[in-house]
Amino acid sequence: MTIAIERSVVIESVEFEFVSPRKIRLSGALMTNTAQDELERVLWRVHCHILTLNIAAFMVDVTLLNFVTSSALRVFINWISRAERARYKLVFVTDPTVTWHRLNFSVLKSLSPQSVEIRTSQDGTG
Amino acid sequence: MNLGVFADTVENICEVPPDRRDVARARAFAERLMAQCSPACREAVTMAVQEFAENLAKYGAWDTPAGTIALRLTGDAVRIRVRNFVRTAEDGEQARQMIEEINAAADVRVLYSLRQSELRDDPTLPRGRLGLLRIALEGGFRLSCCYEHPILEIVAVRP
Repeated sequence: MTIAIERSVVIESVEFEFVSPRKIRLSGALMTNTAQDELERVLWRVHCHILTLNIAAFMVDVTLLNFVTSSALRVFINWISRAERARYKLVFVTDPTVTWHRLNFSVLKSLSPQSVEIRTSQDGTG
Repeated sequence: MNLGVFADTVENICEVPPDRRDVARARAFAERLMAQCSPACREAVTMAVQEFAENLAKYGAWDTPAGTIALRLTGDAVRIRVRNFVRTAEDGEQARQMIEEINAAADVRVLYSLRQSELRDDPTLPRGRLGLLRIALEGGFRLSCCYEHPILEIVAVRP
């Protein structure tokens, strides 16, 4: 069984793109409740996709995600919580020159060190 | 009021009614005013103004004058003053307590992490309450607050 997920979705000022079965890319800015709710729904389907394919580590490239509000950070907190319960790893690819990436993803990793890995775009993994 | 280094500066004010559609306008207001500042300062201030505007939209009272966000700049030093009527006394008290906790914390990052853990453990919590923590941690702002119901005034200074 496979989960139907659009290859690319634009939600207001944020874009979601399925780069490969094991990787998505988020870009733009996540600034409204509407975008947050819609992205939450899309990421729930990604979670189901990961479970269906029994993927051990899933990559989330946020290098081009310029800004998210603090409310929208809950989208990532909720996903990390689901990943922890389902025992797969989320690998976030971040840009360490972006302040919100540097500070927030290190804190998000501390929520569940075994379920979150942070790589930087300079690692050549983005 | 002692404005310190900001005494000779002009205060630019943006009104933010309790409507989420105005959050983007507040961000644009900050970006326009910060155009001449360093990228780090501009990034910190636009983030803080966006977070404050979101709080005004979420917690501002509906049947009162709009909340305001006022900016004073001198070089890369910034003072943001946010004033609004709160919807409930609980909202005002929570903001006051959060700023007290931030100012008493040896490491704001620990508070931020704790709050994220609470949100992870209970996704149904109705309020994130990460905004002020983020302004202090990520933006490097010192926060102070004056609350006399129903008026809440928060001042954020980035030296």
